[in-house]
Amino acid sequence: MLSIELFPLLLGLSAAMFTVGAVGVLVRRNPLVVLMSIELMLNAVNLAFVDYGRYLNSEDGQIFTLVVIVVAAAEAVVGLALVSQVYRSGRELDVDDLSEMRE
Amino acid sequence: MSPTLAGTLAVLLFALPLAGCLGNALLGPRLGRRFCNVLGPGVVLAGFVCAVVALAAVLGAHEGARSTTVTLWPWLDLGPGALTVNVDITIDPLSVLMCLVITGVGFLIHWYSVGYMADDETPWRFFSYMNLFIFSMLLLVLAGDMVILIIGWAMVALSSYLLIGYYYDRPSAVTAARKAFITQVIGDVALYIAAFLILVNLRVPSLQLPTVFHYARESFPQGGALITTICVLLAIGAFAKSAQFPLHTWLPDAMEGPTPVSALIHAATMVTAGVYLIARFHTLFDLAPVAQGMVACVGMGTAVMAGVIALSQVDIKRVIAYSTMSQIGLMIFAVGIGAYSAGMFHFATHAVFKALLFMAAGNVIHALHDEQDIRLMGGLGLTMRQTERCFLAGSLALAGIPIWAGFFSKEELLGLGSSHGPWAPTLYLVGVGVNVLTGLYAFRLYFTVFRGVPQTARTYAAHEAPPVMLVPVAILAVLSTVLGLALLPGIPGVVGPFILGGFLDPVFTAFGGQVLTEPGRQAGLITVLLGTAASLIGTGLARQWWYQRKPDALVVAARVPRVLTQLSLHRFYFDEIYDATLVRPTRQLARALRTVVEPVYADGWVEAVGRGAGWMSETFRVLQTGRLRDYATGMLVAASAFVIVLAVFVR
Amino acid sequence: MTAVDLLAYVVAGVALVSAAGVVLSAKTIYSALCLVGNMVSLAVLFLLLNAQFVAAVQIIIYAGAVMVLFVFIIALLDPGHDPDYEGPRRDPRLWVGIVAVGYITAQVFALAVNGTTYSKADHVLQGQRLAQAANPGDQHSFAFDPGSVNAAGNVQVLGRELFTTFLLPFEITSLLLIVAAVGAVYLTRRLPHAPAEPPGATAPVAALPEETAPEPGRETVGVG
Repeated sequence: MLSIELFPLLLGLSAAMFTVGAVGVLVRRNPLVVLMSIELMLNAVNLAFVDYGRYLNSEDGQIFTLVVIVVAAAEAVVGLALVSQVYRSGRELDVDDLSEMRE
Repeated sequence: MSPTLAGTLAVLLFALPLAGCLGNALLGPRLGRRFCNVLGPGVVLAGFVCAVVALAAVLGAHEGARSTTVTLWPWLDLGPGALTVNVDITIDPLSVLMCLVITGVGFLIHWYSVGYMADDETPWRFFSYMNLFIFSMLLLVLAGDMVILIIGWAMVALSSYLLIGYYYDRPSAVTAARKAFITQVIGDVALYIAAFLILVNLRVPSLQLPTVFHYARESFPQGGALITTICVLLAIGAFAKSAQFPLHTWLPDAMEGPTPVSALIHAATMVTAGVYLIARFHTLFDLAPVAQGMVACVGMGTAVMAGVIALSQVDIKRVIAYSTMSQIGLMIFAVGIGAYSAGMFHFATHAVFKALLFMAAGNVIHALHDEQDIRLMGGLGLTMRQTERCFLAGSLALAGIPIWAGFFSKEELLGLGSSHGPWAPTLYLVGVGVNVLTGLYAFRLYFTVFRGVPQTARTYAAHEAPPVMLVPVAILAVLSTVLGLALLPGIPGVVGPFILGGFLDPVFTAFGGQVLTEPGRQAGLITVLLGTAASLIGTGLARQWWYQRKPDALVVAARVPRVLTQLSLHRFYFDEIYDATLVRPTRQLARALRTVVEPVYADGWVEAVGRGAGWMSETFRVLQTGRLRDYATGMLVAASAFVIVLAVFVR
Repeated sequence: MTAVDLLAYVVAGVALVSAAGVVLSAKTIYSALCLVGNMVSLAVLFLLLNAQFVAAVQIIIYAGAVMVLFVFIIALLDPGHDPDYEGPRRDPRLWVGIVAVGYITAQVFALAVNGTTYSKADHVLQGQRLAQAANPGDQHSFAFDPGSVNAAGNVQVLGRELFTTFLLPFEITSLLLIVAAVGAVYLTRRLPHAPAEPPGATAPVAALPEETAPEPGRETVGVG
């Protein structure tokens, strides 16, 4: 059994991971790394869910975590499919180049 | 008749035309003309079968149990003591008769349309509207609750609007459609107010028709101001729908629609809804003799006025339209004096022979390539033998010549009118005058179109209509010859059982009403002889004046005062009066609002909003870089701001 | 501090470092490996938090399936170096990011410790107390104390919840998966019209013999 003092620590870890992931999304230009950073953010959320669930004596957090994992998997599949399609169309893998939304 | 059977039949009668309407609209453009030609008339024929089954069921029940009101499903329930509206249907002899005419004549007209609209580009639109009309009309006549009746009432106006404006690229058609719709809305409003008055003053808060009739006698004192108001409002609704004075001007213009539409809606069924309404609300009208007198006078007045106008019109469809108005005036007169069964009898025969006249006229118009001016016709009997025979049967029925259908129904209602209601003898004599007028305009049309000398070369090139347009007309011709005799084998008011009356009368006595007694053998004989003589005189005069005459003699029948011909020619100046008193002031008000009020109070604000939006887009477009990372940054900043606001202000 | 607590501290440190590695690595494949490390350490933390099933799922789906997919795509596309990535020192936004990480983490940690959400006095969470005070009869949440869950079995308890209380979200999630699969298939299909070669490019016909010709000294394995 973890002692209760670890609850704020793990919450802090979750916050740190989330922010690191957000920084990765904003800073990196390689779409693969961006996708991985998003996975990192989702993982941080999972950790917060499980952590809270443990200390609230509730299983709901774990259920949520399962759903988030499924969503993350779906997001990775679609995201990677998009990346491969961009690559196959002969363009450089750089999110700053993908600026069709402007027009 | 069991409630289950009644409910099933009603649902079928609603569902079939509705399915036709939707099927034509949704699948028609894809599946093409042949599909529409089958589906459109097919659903109406199926509806007719249902109506026949309903008739058999009603006849099979014993006399006291022929009226069935069934709740299909509850619709609106405002709790105990407040209004409850259910989707109720009533199947009784009256509604069954209406259903039979609507689906029967309706089917023949749909069938005829297959030929008439063969060159039309969008048959799915046409049949969709037509099926919608049949559905609305059935909803109106089967309604067992006043709210449902009003829904049907408004929906027939809608489908009439759609069909008058069917050729929407013709400005005159669009204007006519609008005119018809607006006029009918006036009647709708009167009907709504009547419904509210009934709801507020009835002892139980309900608009279910049997309930209304059941409590009418104890809720409204006989001849009181309240019931008179209600009945006058109901009558205004009926007048607007049935094109009676002073709300009649839309009907001639409605002839802009395709001819089958004129036959179905503006002759056979919808315009007689007013007659049905008054017959249906007979219990209320029995309580308000003043309103009854007004209805009878307006009906007879319209009959005379429309008859006079019909004498001078030169558009073949408008002549028939005015004759329709005149005949409906007679029906309104009949239900006004309380001769409900006679009024419905005339409705049934009129539906048959007037649809026949319209469709035969449609054949003529078709053969002459959309020529409607009777001054350019003449001599068509040479080339269009079959159509001419059918038209003759219709004219004979219309003029009320013995053994044709119109004779029985018209003499029955005039005979009853001669001895009942206020000013009975006066009104009766006017009715005899209407008989003369009817003979005149009916045979004026027949002689100028089918006899005489052809006026244009097109007449010689005219060809007989194809079978699809001839067979329905022929069926109607046979019907308008035998229908009167079948429903009243004998001499009206003198001998013979009034079969239709025996069938319908229980409806009108169900809530303590009285059925008019016939005037007696001797008086009946006199009225019949007088009426028949009038019809024959009218017909004879028509032959005298218009048989093989030049076109210029069409307008002015030499021996009548000039004032009368001018009035007739200008349709009693009603359009001009309405234009000067209603249309033009409204238009001037609108123009004043447009030039004075709108630029400042509406445009200013609207344009300010537009300019503001433009300025804002110019300002914020720098934010739209198209770069994913910038957007993500924006998202994150916004989310952080949201969290900070929550943390600071929401504790 | 128990041995379990010590393990948690160590694993949390590993997770933080590997998370930083995901973002800071210059090579994509290193990022992916760091992410795997991060996920595995999270799975350990889940185990310590009494979430055995989630830990297993984390390993199997995340570290297994999803990361294999990532590595597969990296191998397929082989982007190699991020051409424009100048390293952590050169990107000013990265320093802003590191400050933000430090600040936010400290804030959350401080909030949690100071008892905004967690009261040290009776070892009960603020939210838990509030919820139970507001709704004493609520047996839905907060009813799974670790002892009884362990006695019944974590997977069993989770399964029952998933197929009773959360049945609808569960089904909707499955729908989402189907949509994602269909979307991926649609996106990766071969386009009917490949992008046109720019004019002046080497004609494929000319290039063909060179490529198909076996290079000398290279062992050829083939059917021919």
